[in-house]
Amino acid sequence: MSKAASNETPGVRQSMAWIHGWLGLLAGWILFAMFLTGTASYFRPEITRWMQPEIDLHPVTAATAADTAVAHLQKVAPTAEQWFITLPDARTTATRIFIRERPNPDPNAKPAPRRPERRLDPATGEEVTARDTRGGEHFYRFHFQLQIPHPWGRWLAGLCAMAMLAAIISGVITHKRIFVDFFTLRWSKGQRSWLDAHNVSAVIALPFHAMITYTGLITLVAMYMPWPIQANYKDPATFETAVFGAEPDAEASGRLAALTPVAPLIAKASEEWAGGRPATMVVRNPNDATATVTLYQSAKDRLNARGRSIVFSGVDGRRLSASPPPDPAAETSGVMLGLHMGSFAGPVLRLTYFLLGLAGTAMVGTGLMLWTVKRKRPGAAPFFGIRLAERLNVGAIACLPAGMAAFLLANRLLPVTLPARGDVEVSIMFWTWFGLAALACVRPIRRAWTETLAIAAVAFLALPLVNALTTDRGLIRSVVSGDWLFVAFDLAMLATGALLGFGAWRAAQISSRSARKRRAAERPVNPLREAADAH
Amino acid sequence: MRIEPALLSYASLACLALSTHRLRRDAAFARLPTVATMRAFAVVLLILAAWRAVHDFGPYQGPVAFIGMVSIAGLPLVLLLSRWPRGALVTGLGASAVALGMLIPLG
Repeated sequence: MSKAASNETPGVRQSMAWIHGWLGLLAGWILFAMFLTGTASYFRPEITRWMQPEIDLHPVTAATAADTAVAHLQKVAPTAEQWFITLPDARTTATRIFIRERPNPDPNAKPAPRRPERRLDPATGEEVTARDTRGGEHFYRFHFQLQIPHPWGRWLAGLCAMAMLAAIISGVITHKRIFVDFFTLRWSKGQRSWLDAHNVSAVIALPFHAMITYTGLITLVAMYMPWPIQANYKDPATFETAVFGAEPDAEASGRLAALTPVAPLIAKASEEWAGGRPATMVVRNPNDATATVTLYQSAKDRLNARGRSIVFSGVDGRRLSASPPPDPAAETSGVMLGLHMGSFAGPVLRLTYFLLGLAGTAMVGTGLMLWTVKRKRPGAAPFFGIRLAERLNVGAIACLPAGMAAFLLANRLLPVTLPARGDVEVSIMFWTWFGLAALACVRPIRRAWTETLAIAAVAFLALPLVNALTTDRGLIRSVVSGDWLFVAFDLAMLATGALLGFGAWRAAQISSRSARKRRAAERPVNPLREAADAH
Repeated sequence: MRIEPALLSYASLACLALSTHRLRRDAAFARLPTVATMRAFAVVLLILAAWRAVHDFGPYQGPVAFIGMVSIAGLPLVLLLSRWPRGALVTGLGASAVALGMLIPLG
């Protein structure tokens, strides 16, 4: 392209760079939070287990867990309308049950209060109680709902994901030297270093970033683009039946009939799924002549996150129906959901997912830093937009980790019997996050970086200590007893703290270096010395 | 711990990095094999990593594991190259030795 032409109309690369910069900035702060909490969500059941240290159960087979759960439900709710039983697996050790009561036939009666979900020891069927907490579920929900009322949180998350997808494409077009700079990372060179770090974290893990953004959008595509379903199915329920199979909906007959043993049904389903195991069991109208038992397949051992289901008669154990075999479209969307959540992943693959998620977080973070560093002019006071972006960067990159650490600290430090304890933990996370971000605004920007990163580092480093003081599952005891979940959690907290501490140390170094430079520039020149130098 | 694909990928990427001209100007790498040889090593190791990923994780999860582990192997390599380029060469050799050693029992 000739120089004259490039002056008149910006080339494709410049246009793409402009789009990349602005989309990245506007969606960046939310994307940073989505990436970080989403990455943490790869360990959702493990975080929940850490947050309820009272529960320390040992895994049993699905059949045993189902038997003990049914025995418990027969005692506490034999006439309920439905029992939902989520069976334990290697990662979630407790059986979870939820009871839906039969509605009162009297239309004027008050509806019965909703019973909360409960957890059982899968070996005995005894109810286990633990401190009230949202656990890892909180990070998972925040990742795509952003703690904003439905449906606005999901819409905002979707808009940010769309911006992310556009930023990935425009970023690839903008980046001139993808292969030449593949391994290039230069330290302590200001803007150059931020650009290198942004390029490296983006390019090396590019397949992951593209996959996770696209599949993330696809998980909620029926909400973002409802029109194809509306055009083809007048009633949304017909669509669900066509895709997932019909749910049994027989009314209770009122004739009593003993519930069939469930363990043989699990064996039958497992055989039909070629070794697949059930994740959830739903019993409708238990102990009635119309009782049914539906088994839903676990996604733990397959790429497709949407499992199949089989309905059995709850009286004689006959197989009544099953979900239709997924057609190519349903299979594709299920596999995309599976790829996004990584529910199929074993320990090694899950760790890979987690580290790739951290690379994505680093990509967004370095991109945000680059935006401000690039636009600052040395010597000139930054204009309002840059100062705002700088403050929001501190708020997202340094203060969100501090908030997440506060959430975990609150879990250990709040009294166990505090009412609405789970909600208080969540509020503490947001108060710490936004409070720290607001406080950081009154400090000079360099000091703000050092101080907030240092606070976040100290909070994470304190976690293993607080855990050891408030529970009987501290690091040393966990190592001795071989409690590897708690060992790994403590080590991960120490590593996170060390990383944030390194960040604080680098920020302090840069801060003192730029202060020295400023002082050197402001120092009055000694005329005598200048005269001597001239000779 | 099925991490052989990650180790092989790391070794492969290290070979690839050492076949770039910018790094080869460094005196530390004066006695390396030629660029073409390093690239050939890189390709062979990458193919081994892909095969090993499919072998360990099956035909469906294998490609996911392969792509993920190549990406993950790149990040420590770049960090090491930026601070201690010679260390990248040493750990690359180490990683390939360990990974190839792990392959032997398979035959």
